[in-house]
Amino acid sequence: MVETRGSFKNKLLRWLLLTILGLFVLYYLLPLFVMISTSLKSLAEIRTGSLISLPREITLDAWALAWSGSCTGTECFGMKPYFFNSVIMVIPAVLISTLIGAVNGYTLSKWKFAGSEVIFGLLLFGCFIPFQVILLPMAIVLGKLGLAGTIPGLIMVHVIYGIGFTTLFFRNYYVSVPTELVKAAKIDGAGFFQIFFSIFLPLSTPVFVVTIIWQFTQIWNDFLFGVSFSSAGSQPVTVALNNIVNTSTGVKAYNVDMAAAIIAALPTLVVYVLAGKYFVRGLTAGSVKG
Amino acid sequence: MSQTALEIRKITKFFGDTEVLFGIDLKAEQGDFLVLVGPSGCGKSTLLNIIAGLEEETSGDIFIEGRNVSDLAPKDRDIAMVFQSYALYPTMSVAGNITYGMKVRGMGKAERHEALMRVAKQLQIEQLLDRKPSQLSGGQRQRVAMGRALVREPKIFLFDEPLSNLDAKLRVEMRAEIKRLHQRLGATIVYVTHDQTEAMSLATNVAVLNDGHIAQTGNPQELYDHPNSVFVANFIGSPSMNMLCGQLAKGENGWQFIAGNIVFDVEHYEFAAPPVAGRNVTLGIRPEYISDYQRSRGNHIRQFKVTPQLIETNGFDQHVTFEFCDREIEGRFSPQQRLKLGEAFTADFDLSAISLFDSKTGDRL
Ligand SMILES: Nc1ncnc2c1ncn2[C@@H]1O[C@H](COP(=O)(O)OP(=O)(O)OP(=O)(O)O)[C@@H](O)[C@H]1O
Ligand SMILES: [Mg+2]
Repeated sequence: MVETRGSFKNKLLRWLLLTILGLFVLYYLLPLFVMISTSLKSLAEIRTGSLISLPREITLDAWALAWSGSCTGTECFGMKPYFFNSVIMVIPAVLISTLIGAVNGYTLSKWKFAGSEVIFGLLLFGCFIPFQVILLPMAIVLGKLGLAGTIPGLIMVHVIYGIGFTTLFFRNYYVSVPTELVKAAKIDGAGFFQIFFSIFLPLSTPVFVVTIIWQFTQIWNDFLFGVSFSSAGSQPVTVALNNIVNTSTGVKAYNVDMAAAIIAALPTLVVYVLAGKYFVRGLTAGSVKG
Repeated sequence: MSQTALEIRKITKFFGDTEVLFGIDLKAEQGDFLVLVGPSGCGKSTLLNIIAGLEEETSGDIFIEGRNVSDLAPKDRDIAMVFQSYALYPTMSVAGNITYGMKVRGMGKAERHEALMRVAKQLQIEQLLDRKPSQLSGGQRQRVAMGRALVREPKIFLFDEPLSNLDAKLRVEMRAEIKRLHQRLGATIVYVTHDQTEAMSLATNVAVLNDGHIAQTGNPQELYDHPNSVFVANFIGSPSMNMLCGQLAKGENGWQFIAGNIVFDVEHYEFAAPPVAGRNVTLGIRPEYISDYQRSRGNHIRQFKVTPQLIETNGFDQHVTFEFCDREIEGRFSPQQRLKLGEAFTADFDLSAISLFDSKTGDRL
């Protein structure tokens, strides 16, 4: 008797929990639903129907326009060129900042030297400097280097800003790797980089996944650096999205705006769906088993 | 050619402002099994790391076979080291772990394989070569770590508490194996442990470290029989030496140790320096010399009535604790004796192998 009552209570609690969670899921998914359904409607239908109704007639016109026909200011090439700007900016920026972070983390955890803690402290401090603070000095530096308004310039900005985070990730991961591994390898005759490549890199997959996802999301979604340090030809997708939405040619094309927004957000979504489970695993991965 | 395999001269080490090694001098001859033993934090690992070149000494020199290696990198010192945590490369197979050093040094594949197979056979780990360290038991990891050291054929092997992660039974097994290995190879070994049993059973030579100083060096038996300080006497031997506090006095037929109403004739004791009457001294006597067996045929046996307060047996001995001279004293008695708690019996105190220490300095007299 007692047992059934207990399990009945448990069941009730469970259902309550699931219901609440379900409501949260709906709440979070609603905007995405509205965006997708709006992007598949025609302008006429948007004007007559309600915001949350399903499209009566599915059309991909808005997507086509958003991708290659919509106007940003005076040019009407759609999101496409800017999307590729973002791609060629994000890939090197993520790889370079991650690799530098890995070497930094390895050095700061396993090859400590006088002042290494101070350097780590400063890098950590760098993580918490607001974007706005570095805009002006960075603009001057880029100008001096002749990289103002170029994609390499943007890459440089993102690499510099990202190093603090990537170093933190890798350093905290490598701290849990026994230092005796380095000693053993030194006796075996291996040097700084040999130890890094043959012993530390192979056991770094989880932290690489975490760092790459983190950096990818940060850099792809960045708007402020993009809008500050790019020129007409080098704007990333986030800036283009802003311009498309703000360019008014009479009627507001909500369907095109929605499609463009989804296009801009798609890569980070894909990365999470594909690698999300590694992300969680990497964040929770504790020490390395000897 | 019997050159001194390892010579440590006046090694000091500071970490910041704290001195952890105070001018260490040590020697190991070819084929020696030198054990550095001492309580936790006394600087054993630091000294071993300095010998290996993994830590830099503040001053002093290290000689390996007559060559000053103080300025050489670890890989150029011709040493191999086995670590407490084994430090196996986690992503490499057992074979990869053992051959890594040879690979780094650019040795050919055939040569590497030959060396690998030789060592694998020696340690009986042939069937494990393809496994990853995470797929090995503690004892197997230990073997692989030794294999990685053996394959180098170094001039000196360095071991830093290699057995302390193993359970008691395995530890005894591996200890015997290391000892056999030493006898077979005739290699020079420097071995760090805080376990005096391990030190006693493995060493040809023991150096007892205390707070960055060498308290005593010698072969295990010497240390056991003639500890030169209270510290060494307490540290070596388990259960440790019994200590009685008293004074020296000059009696009719020689020196006497007086503690309350107990008087021991110690005229047979070989004083290192001329004794002084009235001096406060500590008399040390090992538990096995308080017994009912005849340890020595010496005529220095004294009998006392004692009352057991605690009796522990291990099958071949009864360890009996009783109060004597205001101290808790332990003796060993044969299991044939029917001893009972609180029931007085006669114990033989064999004074032929006592130690006397200055109570103030703790030094042997
Ligand atoms: N890198 C370091 N920085 C500062 N102090 C250190 C460092 N390494 C060791 N010490 C100190 O030096 C002393 C000796 O340390 P060491 O590791 O040599 O001791 P040990 O005898 O090996 O002890 P255990 O038996 O616990 O391993 C200790 O007091 C320790 O705190
Ligand atoms: Mg140690």
